[in-house]
Amino acid sequence: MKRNITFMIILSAVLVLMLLGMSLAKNIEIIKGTATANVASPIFIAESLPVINMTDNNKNVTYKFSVKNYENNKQSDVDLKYRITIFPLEIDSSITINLYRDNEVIALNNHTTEWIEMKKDMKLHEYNLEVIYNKEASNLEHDLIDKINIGIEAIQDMG
Amino acid sequence: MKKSNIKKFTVLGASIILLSGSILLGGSLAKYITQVEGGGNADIAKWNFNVNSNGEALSTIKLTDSIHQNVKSEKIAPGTNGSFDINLDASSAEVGLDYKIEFLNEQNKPTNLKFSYEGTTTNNLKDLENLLKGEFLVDDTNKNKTYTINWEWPFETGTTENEIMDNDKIDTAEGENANAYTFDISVTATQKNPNGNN
Repeated sequence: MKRNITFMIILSAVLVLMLLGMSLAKNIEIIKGTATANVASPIFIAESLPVINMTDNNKNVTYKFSVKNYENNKQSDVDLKYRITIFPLEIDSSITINLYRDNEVIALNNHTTEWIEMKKDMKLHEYNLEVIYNKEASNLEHDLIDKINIGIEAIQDMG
Repeated sequence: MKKSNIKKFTVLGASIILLSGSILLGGSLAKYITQVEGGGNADIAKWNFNVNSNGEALSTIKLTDSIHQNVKSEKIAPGTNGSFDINLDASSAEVGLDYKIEFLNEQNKPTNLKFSYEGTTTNNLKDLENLLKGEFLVDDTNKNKTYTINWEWPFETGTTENEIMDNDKIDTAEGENANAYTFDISVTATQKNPNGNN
């Protein structure tokens, strides 16, 4: 039994020696680094007034809305472009819509604007949507209960 | 009885000597030094292996060196691309060596960001590792190697309208979260066995 223990001690020592020799007999160098990339954040926000009702007494309304590319002083990291569509696309002839930005009329093609650029520096675009109801321009004999909605589609702009 | 004790002492003594030898051996080889033994000089082969990227330390790799007018500087977004270099320099080494480049701890990778090296494009840096290993032989005249890894975040990903729309949603969500994408690069160089066995 004692001889076995002695043998085990010697064997262990030899193994330690061999293992040390193996691990130290060659050079190993590990060089490490870290790579980083921050992901750009798009910001596009549309803000509008509450719903406005058109009535016989309120036949000409102006609805204000705006779009911006910043929030809480943080601006979009990417250029954007957007287009505005006024729904419904088919509307009774008694209703006329006009879209303005900075008192300039914005052309609508099938109720949709061209793509409008919004570069990544802080921008606020304010719009007025004028809706005029002219009963005489239509043969309708019943009340109009259509809702007019504004849709805005924004995508990243790579130029 | 007395003979048996002497025998035990000899065996124990041998084991102590062996253990001492291993400790001493560990101490002398734990750092790379020039040794002079006996009457002759033994010059130790020089071991020198360096890695950098674009002339800077490996620890400072940025993916966003390239400038895209429509994206804030130093940020990546759909439609951006670029590359980074990993330069290996074993020109001062006087031994042959094997090397391998590994990418570890990848975090917040944009789903549609792709990497390519010499015509192989992958969604995952790990998949390039097989192409990023090699050797410098002691007699090589050129012991420098530059690996240029290209990356691209396509403006649109997918072939069908639905695929493109789905990937647009993924890109937008990841942009809105705007987490920093990071990964570690590890370059390991191992001396070749002068006897030809590793």
